[in-house]
Amino acid sequence: MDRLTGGKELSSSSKAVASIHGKEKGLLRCGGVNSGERIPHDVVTEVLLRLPVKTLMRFKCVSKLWYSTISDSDFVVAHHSNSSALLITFTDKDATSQTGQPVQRVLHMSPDKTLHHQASVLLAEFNITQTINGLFCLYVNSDDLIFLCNISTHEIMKLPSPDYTTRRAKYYFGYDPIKDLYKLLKIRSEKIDDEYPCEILTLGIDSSWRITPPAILDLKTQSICIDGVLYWGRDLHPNYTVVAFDLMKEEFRVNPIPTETNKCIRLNIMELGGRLTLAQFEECSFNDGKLILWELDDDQVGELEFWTKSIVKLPTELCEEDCRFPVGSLPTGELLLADYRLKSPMTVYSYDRAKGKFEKFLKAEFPSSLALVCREPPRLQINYHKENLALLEHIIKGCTSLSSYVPLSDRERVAGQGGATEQCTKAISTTRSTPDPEESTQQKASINNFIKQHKSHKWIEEFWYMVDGVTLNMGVAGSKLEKALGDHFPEGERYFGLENFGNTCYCNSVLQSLYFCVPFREQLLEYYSSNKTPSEGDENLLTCLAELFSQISSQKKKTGVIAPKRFVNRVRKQNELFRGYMHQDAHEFLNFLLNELVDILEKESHKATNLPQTSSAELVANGLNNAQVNGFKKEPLVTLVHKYFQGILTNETRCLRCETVTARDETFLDLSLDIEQNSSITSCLKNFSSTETLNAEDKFFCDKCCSLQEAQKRMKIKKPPHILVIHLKRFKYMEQLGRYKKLSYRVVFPLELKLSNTMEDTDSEYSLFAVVVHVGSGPNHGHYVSLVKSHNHWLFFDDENVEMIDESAVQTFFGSAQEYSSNTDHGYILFYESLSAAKS
Amino acid sequence: MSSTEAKKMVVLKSFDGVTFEVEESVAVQFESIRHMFEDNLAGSVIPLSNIKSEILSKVIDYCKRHADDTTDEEDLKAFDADFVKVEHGTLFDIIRAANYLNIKSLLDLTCQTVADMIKGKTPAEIRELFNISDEFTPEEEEEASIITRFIYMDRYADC
Repeated sequence: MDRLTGGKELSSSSKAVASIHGKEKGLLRCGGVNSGERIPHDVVTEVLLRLPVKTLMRFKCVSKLWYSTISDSDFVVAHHSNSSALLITFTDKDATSQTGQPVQRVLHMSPDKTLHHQASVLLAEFNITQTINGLFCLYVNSDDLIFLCNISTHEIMKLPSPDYTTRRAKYYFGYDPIKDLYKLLKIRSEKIDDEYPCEILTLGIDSSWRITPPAILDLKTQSICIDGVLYWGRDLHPNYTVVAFDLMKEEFRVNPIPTETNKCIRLNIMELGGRLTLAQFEECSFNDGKLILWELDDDQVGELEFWTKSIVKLPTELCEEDCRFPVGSLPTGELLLADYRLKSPMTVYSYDRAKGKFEKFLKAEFPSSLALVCREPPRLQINYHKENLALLEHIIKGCTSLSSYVPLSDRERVAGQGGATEQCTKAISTTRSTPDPEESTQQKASINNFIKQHKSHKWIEEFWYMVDGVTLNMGVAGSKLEKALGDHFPEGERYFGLENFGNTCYCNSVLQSLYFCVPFREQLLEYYSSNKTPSEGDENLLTCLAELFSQISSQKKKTGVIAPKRFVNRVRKQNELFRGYMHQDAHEFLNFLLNELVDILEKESHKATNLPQTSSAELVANGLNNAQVNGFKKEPLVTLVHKYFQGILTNETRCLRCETVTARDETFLDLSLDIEQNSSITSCLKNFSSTETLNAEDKFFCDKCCSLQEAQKRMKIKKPPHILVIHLKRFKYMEQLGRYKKLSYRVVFPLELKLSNTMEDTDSEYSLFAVVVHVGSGPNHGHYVSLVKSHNHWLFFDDENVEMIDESAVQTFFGSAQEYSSNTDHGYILFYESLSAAKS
Repeated sequence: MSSTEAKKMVVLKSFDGVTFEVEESVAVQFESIRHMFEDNLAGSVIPLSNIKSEILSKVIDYCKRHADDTTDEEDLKAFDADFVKVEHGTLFDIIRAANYLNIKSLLDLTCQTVADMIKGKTPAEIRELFNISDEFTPEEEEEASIITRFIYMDRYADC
């Protein structure tokens, strides 16, 4: 097919398969043989070797045999050599990131040449190193926290912090292929005695950081690791140099840059055919240009290094397409050229030096969820990449990176046998010893604790939401829920968590609330069954929502996790605002969704009524003939959204001169209420309906008096809706700060609400059935969860997780009476159902 | 392939008793039974007791096309693409036959087809498709999920 899949020959992997099979015989206790097996397992292994890591992570829970196959060390190695793709990295300074901070985006190109979003890292909070074998380090300078991450599996593991906390340092990640070791070099940014102190950590060997000879030059750029050597280019300084750090000898050396290089043009420092290469683009005329390459050669003995120069003339078509910036290379030695100002589709050319041939290498669309801007040439990098299934634990623990990985099921046995693993266990003092069953339970508990601790850790929380996580549809929480409910599990009801696709909790929390709005749900299910097979082009938010609801309600299992993928993709397609991976406002989303549904329903009914004859006759028959007063104006249609969510407000204005009352009706789908500290919904509603005097600048034009007059104005609820949605304005724009601030005020919301400020004489009674909760202290980050009442039980929905909670726990979401409270979980959108409507 | 020499034929017999006569130049692709007709046993019938005749005829078709070096690459690609457009059951039968006969290119093609097919499926769908019964118990499932999903280790949890 092409270079990228070149390594995928059956013969290379079948060896590994054979050995995997040899091993499995010993693993039968956890493997098991299926009598009804459709194809032999060694063929299944062949199939699995062709799947991307993300899919494999999901397939780990297919069966025990699949789990142990995918975790097997030989499989990991075979898969690593089998996989090949490109990793496209760039810094996105687009305004779509709400904070306005640069975001480092990583795209992954699969062998079928489509681009996928792999990860986004907000650079304001984190710094990241080069990605090597699918691994990179992420560090938070302010806290001296360093993490090792696997970009394919999205696994993150903390590395030991350096002994000398410096607060300002840079980290560089490298790989020594001879000893198969990963090393992390730390260089302090402040000079001490004219030098920059350095420390190093060899993953799997060192339990703490070691001091190494200091750097004499200040290194600003990211390093490039080639064949066990880290390189930095320094072209902005008077001394044009390349600094190298040999990972084996652990020492620095400095190579001067060839004197001929044009000092006015930026130097690209990159790897080409396994050698360090400097590339400069020189424009000759408008559509003409050449690339000058200097390669760092040595005399084989490794004593003398020198630069070899070559010139590549770029064909006109490349210049025309602006694909003339060297952005990376392939392992086969081809140079990749692209336009750094990213456009979708993105075009990349390859240049084969041996043949002197240019070829269009890639033309692919960006994932629609990303809006991309890259403004600086050296920021766009395209690297050859191999996905890595390796567990970080084994790299950090020191069971050398890939080769001696121990499957989970075998871990106890190997640890008990001693050998390499045991030595490492000794080396790392904090490592636990051989786990026995009891300890593994403890370990499980401590993992849970650790997750809990870190969920509250602000930045890790953000990282988790930012990374498009690998999730498993295991329904673990579900089985617990089933146990908790036992015989009380409501007949026919389904409690399913919703997968988070990277900051989609705002969407999940609203979806759960709407799903448990039973009359609305039933109408949608009905809609779904009557419009079961919409053609491809007819897919819209309504069909996606109806489909999702029907998916949930028709599940065989009572609990579990569902991925609302179609729906979320549709939302992203429909509205730019929700396209990115940033935090969004749940109320804005609810609003958008309901209005969108109304639009769709109106269009549909418009189509239906436009059929000949029926329209006018029916309208008259229904007593709606007054709708055509102006010829075109017609009575607004009552859709199912209106039926449940729409209420009518009356805006009453009394002229203080003639006492005439002018009333104007407005419809609403939800009420947005201003809130005060230590208040309640009832008092907020009272404020909402309080009388306001219009005077001075703000006088009212009275039709009767035919002049501007002082007047009194108040809002009243004329027709209370079936479902009353109340939005608490917790995000307030602070003018002196120039940004939004979250109000954590305590606002009591009762389980039963009496609406007294209506036009009708009788009070409307409502019962609370869902709450969308905002978790976090600020408006631009945090998390959304929802509380839902179903069949007299309260449930807590947090993305994939569903738990049962006590009714009394609802009051912990009222807010806090003090400004700075550790409780940041506050009720944000309240869903009430009218009791009288429910009865009738 | 030389046209002057008389073509050597190999006779294969399927599980349901149907015999197929195949040119040796085609049959050489059957790695696992190659020795049987190369050891001067030409003419005798080679029984393939676990391949049905309809599958065997498909496999022979495939090998004929691939033995013919006059076909150009584009045509062959199109043929391959068409060849795997079959029901799951048939596809699995072909895989089993390819695996048994050890036909590398066919195994490669069919494995890739299955891989593309299952990429987007859920574990439950996979279990059904592959008829897998050794599911996890809820407790094991929980452990697998926790370990797979949050491989944070507690050892450095001192921050």
